[in-house]
Parts: sequence; C-alpha cells; structure tokens
Amino acid sequence: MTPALTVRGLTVDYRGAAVLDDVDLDVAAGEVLVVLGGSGSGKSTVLRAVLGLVPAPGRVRAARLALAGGRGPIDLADPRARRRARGDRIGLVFQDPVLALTPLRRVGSLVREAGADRSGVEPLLAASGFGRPAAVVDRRAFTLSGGMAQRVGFVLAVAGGPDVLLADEPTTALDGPARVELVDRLRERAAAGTAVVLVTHDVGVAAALADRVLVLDGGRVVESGPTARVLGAPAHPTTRALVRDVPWALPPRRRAPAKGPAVVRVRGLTKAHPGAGAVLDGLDLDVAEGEVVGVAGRSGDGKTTLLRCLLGLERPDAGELRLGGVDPAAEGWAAVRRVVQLVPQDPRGSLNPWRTAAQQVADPLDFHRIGDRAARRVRAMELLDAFGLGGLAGRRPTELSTGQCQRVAIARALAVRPRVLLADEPASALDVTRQAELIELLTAVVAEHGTSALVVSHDLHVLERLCDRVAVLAEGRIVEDLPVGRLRADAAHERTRALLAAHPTDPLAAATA
Amino acid sequence: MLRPAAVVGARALAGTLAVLLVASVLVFGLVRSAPGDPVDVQLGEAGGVGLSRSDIDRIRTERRVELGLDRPLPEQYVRWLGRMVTGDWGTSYVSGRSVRAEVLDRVPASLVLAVSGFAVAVVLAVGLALLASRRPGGPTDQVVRLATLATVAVPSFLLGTLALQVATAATGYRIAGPATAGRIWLPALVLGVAVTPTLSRVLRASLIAERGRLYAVAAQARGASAGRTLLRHVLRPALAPALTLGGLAFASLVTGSVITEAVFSWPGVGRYAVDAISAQDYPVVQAYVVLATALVVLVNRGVDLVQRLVDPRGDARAEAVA
Repeated sequence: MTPALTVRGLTVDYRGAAVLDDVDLDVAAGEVLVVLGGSGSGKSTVLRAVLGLVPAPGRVRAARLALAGGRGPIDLADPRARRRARGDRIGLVFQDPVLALTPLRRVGSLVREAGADRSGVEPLLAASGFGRPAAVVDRRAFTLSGGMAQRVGFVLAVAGGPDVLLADEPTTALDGPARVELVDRLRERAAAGTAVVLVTHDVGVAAALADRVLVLDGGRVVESGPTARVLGAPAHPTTRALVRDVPWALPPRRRAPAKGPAVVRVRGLTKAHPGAGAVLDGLDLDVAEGEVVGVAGRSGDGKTTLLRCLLGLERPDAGELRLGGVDPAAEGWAAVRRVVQLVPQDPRGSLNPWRTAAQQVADPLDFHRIGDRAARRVRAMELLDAFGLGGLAGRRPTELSTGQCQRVAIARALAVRPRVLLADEPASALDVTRQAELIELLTAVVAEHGTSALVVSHDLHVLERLCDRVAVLAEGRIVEDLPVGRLRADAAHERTRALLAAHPTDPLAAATA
Repeated sequence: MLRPAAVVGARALAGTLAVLLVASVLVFGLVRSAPGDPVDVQLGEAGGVGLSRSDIDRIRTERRVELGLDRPLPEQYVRWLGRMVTGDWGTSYVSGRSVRAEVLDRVPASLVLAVSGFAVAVVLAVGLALLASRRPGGPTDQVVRLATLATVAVPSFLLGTLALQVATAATGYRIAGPATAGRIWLPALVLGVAVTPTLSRVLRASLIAERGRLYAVAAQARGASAGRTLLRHVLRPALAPALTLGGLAFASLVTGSVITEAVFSWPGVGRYAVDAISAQDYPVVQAYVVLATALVVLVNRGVDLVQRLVDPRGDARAEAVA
C-alpha cells in the first residue's frame, strides 16, 4: 500500500540547534499513526514542518516530504504546492481549540472559508456533535465554550475533505468525556479512509486510537512499531518512562479517612455569570484538617469559578465561606491569604519574569510582613533547598525549566506555612513524566507540612492518585462525594459514571492485551 | 447582568455632561487667570489718539462695568454658563459681532477639512500598515518605516508649504477663495499625511502581534494566503489600539489645525481661535474652548461606540469583571 504521507530525513534546526534530526515517517490511508513524546521532544514540530509553518528562524530540510492520494501526488517541499495542499489535502487539529479560532469571525463563515459550501456547513457541524448546528452558525468564535470551540476546530480541519488529518496534542486541553468524543471523531475519519497523524504525550489516547506508534525523544525517533508491541513491551528507556509514569500506573493513595475539624467549610455557595446563568448553585463542601480533597468535573461546570470564589477573586452572590478558620466576610481576604495559598495551573506564567526564585518565594512573606527581612531570606533559602533548588536561588523564570518553575511556585505557596493549599488543574499542562513528579511532590508536601488541600481537576486519574476524597461538581453543586477507594465501586450519579467511563482503570490494557 | 441599552446610554450621557461642566469651570478659570486685561488690550490703540490718563481710567471703568468684569468671578461664571447654554455666546470684544455667528461660520469649513484629512489618513495608514506587516523587517517594511519617520520629522508648515509649491506649479492650484470642494484636496492631503505615521506604526505593530497568535497560524494551516490571513483574520482584532489613537487624532483635527489652515488660508476655527487668544477676546476664546471640549468628548464617545461594533469582546470582558 502506498503511504498517503511520506517523510524522509526531516531535520529542523533553530540557528543550529536541532529540534528534529533525521525523522522518517509514513502513514497509509485509513491508518492512525501516533507520534508519542514528552515536552521538548520535537513532536509538534513534525506537524508544523509538514505544513510548512515552522516559525521564522527555523530551518527545515528533508530528503522527501510528499503526499499521495486520489487527487494526485504533491511534493510538500515546493512552497506553492504545499500552500495549495493546506486545508484541502491536509487538515490540522490544534491543541488549544479556543485560541485557534479567529475570535471575531462567525462560525459559519469560518467553516465556509475552510472549504465547505453553503449547504455543507450545518451537516458538518452536526457530524461533529452539535445537536442544533443552526444555533452555532451565526455565533462569533469568542462566544463559544471550550467544548464547542473544540468541535468547531475539528470541523475546520476536515471541511476541505483532506487525505491526511494531523492533530497536535488535541486532547490535552480537554476533559475526559470531550477527549473520548474527539477520539471517536478521529477514529471515524480513519475508518472513512483518511490518514491520521496524532501527536501527543497521552499514552492513554495513543493506546485507544493508534495502529502504529512512533516515539520521539530529543528530536530523534527512538522506537516505532505496532501499538501493542511498543506500549505493551517498550524497548527504549524513553518509551518505558512514558508508559511507567502514566498517572493510572502510579501507586494509589490509600489512607484512613481524616476525622479532624473542617479547615475549609463552604455552605450554599452561589454565583451566576452574566449571560451564562447560575454557575454555582448552592454548593456545600468541607475539607478536614490534613485531608486532600479533589473536585472533579467537566470543563464549564464551575470548577474554576469555585476556586476563584475561594481565592476571593470573585464575589459570590450568596453563601458562607470559612477558610483555614477565617471568615473572609468578617476578617478580610488578606487574613485568609495568610493561611490559604494557591498552587497555580501554569507555574511559569504565575512567576514574575523579572524576579529571582528566592525573591518570588519570599514575596508572600514580604506581603504579610512575616518576620524581618533577614528571616524571610533564610526561610526562602530553606524552602528552595528543600525542593532541590538550592543552587538556583538567583535564577529568573526564563533560566529555569518548567519542572523547576513548578517547584518554585509550590515553595512560594508554602512560604507562609498555610493551613490549606488550593490547586488549580496542577497537572494538566504537564507531560506524563512531569505529572508523576508533581503528584509525588504534592503528596510529600501535604504529608510533611500537615496542610490540607483542595485540588480541582478534570483528570480523574490524577485526583485518584493525589486525593483522599473526590467530590464531583456538576450543574453547580456537588453531586457525588466519596473516599477515593470507594469511588469506582460506589459511584451512583450519572456524571460521576461518565467521568469514570472516560478514565478507565487501565487505558493501556485494551490496546496491549 | 447585562444592562439594558437605555441605562448604558443614560450613564454615558450623564458622564458626558459632567465632563463638560468640569471643563467649563476649567476653561473659565484658565482664560481669566491669563496675564493681561482685555480692556487694556482694546484701549491700547485708542490710547495713541491722545486721551488723558483720567479719560482712559474712566473709559476703562465704564467698559469693565459694561462687560460685567467688575462682578465677582463666580457670578461671572454662572452668568456666562447660562448664556452659553441658551445659545447667547456674547459679542466679540474685537469685532463687536456675535460670537456664535462668527464661530458657526467657521465650524463647517473645519469639520469638512478634518473629515477629509482623516479619511486620507485612514486609507494611507491602513494600506501602509498592511503592506509593512506582510514581511516585518523586509524591504517594504523598511521603506515604509523610513517614509513615515521622515514625515513625522518634517514640521507641518514646511510640509504644507512644499505641497502648495508643488501643487501650484503642477496643477495651477489656487490658494485664494472660499472653502470649496475644488481646493480642499490639498490641505486634506497634507493633514492626512501628517497624521498617518503614528496611526500606521501603531496598526503595523498590532497587526504583527495578532498575526503571531495561534488563530492566524490556524488560518494559514487551513490554506489561507498571507494576504487573506491579514485581511480576513488579523485586521479586525488588531484595530483596537489604532481606533483609540485615531479617535484622538480626529478630535484634534476637528478642533482646528491652525498651521494648515494658515498655510492654505482655510477659513476654519483654528486660526480664528488663535487670533482671539492674542487679542484676549474672552467671549470668543471661551466659546471656542468649550465647543472644542464638547467636540472632543463627543468624538471620544463615538470612538467608543465604533470600538464596540468592531470588537465586541471588550464588552463581554468588562461585564465579566463588573
């Protein structure tokens, strides 16, 4: 069988620094190839190079970059031929669906521009999961929710009827059920004869979808072959690490249920957003002393709003809060922040690029005027040492790796010796190896410092490893609240079951059996 | 909650009125605290005729009473404000004619010139920014950058004079005459060219920033050409900063471009106001400044409105924060 896409000797460098080194790759029509790799492995660059969209100083060389198919061969090394192939012969699904849509354009106009004729727009939207496509056609892209944007992004990628469909980490920003939906869509496309190349660090998605897997590390292909062989019996250390570090393979957290007094007490929390109606609708939640509680839920179910209310960044419409023994309504948010700290979703983005690691860690101490200047410096250095960052105190975020930024952000959160840590999707932006590190780190921090934690995430696998108890947020309330050990057996609510179905105990088992 | 349009409108109107009121106090205070005395200025020429010192003092006192300048300042302010609101803008100390008639005679000429000049600037700025941002740092971008820099560096009287020389020689352009369509094109062109550089620079920077965003890359990945990506995807989201700046530029054009009006002897309000200031013609100066403030405020409101139409995202964000 002739491959739909052939890549030979693909090499990309930025001012001499190689990002991809001599990569070969083939996909046949109807086949799904998953390119697996961690952050910085060069996997996204493969897709950009195929489309000729490697940004400015990047230099692309290849012995062969070619498309084949019913509409004739195309040499992708020729810029003009390549430009005609974009959208028409090759479609691309992006990682962040919201950012990948021109904000002020209407959905229908974008879909038509991508190659659909006027009568084809609504059927395409319907096929991508919109129950009432007519209602979406005239909406501007910036008004779409994340889930809707993802569906529209998929429609734009396939509207031209491409022979090859590329997908760049398309599941990373999605919650479990949305991920399952997208995997189904990609599978349908492959069944219809499209060649699919999916780039991801998510071994679970690879196992669910791939016919073949190709593993990249440091810009080189280190392993490739049929899915069952590569994921079931990985030969290369990189592949072994990717398979070993998946969250569902990490040791589960099993502890006696905490019986201490509640350090977080939320009663009847209600918050409506303009145009969106009630986001939180009488939510009750407790976190006991020393307990780690996970709040699971789908995107748009109010997880972020809950966290913003608990941080005092949004004013609830109604409800009572007591955080770390402090009532923010009576004693003010500054008093709350003295005992409640945030572990951010994007650690690098949460750090001030102009300040050193030591200054960032000492910042909360300065703000709350805890100790004198010398004592604050000592405390910051102690924390950095404890997190293995002792030699990096004078570095700024741009001189630190993402993993190091993560540890600086956690050290900063611990500086005031908080009673409660709030974590916002702490693992979802990280590749599996970083995720495993983070889970280990947070578990150790909570145990050592005796803090409680409330972790908000759509990733049930991560919550299962991190938490004592998982609460499921749906329609503005907690609909399920179970100790983690009983979650899979005793879940009663349909929303919990849907989340569990999207996070099977071992996603690899099916593919590698 | 989304507020009804009527409430939003009423608040905008109240805000506009408040700004105008504050501006009127400032204007009144500013004009009155300027050094010199209007009566002295008026008597300056008469003094040469040979009147005695006591005659001058008597005339001065009479004149001050006549003009109401002997009253306490707050009373003068309230009386002046009342007359302004009712449309009686007083008489010019210099010409003795109604200020309202004099000002309103000149406003249309200024407005027409401002609108045409601004139109020229918008066309030039958008065109140059699109050209320059296609390849940042490329030859076109460099040429546009040099040209806009050079234009900023040339004083506008020089630009106007040069343009006038060239146009007179080449097309037989005639400077004399009333504000007619036949001769507006040259001052409009000069004004437009003078405003273009800042606008096009801001728009170019914002186009380049927007084009680096993921949605623009996505458009290209779907096969949109560089030109189509700029026009259909990037241009509209990139307009906001240029709109704000354009509004300010337009407001300053509307209130009179003194130098261009002088060079082309264009009968606009700008020159009229400058003459009134040198003559300490209080009623004229006050009426002009209040009118200018009102225009600036109105133009800004208009720009806000256009901004909302062009980029409704700001509304959603503002509502979410509120």
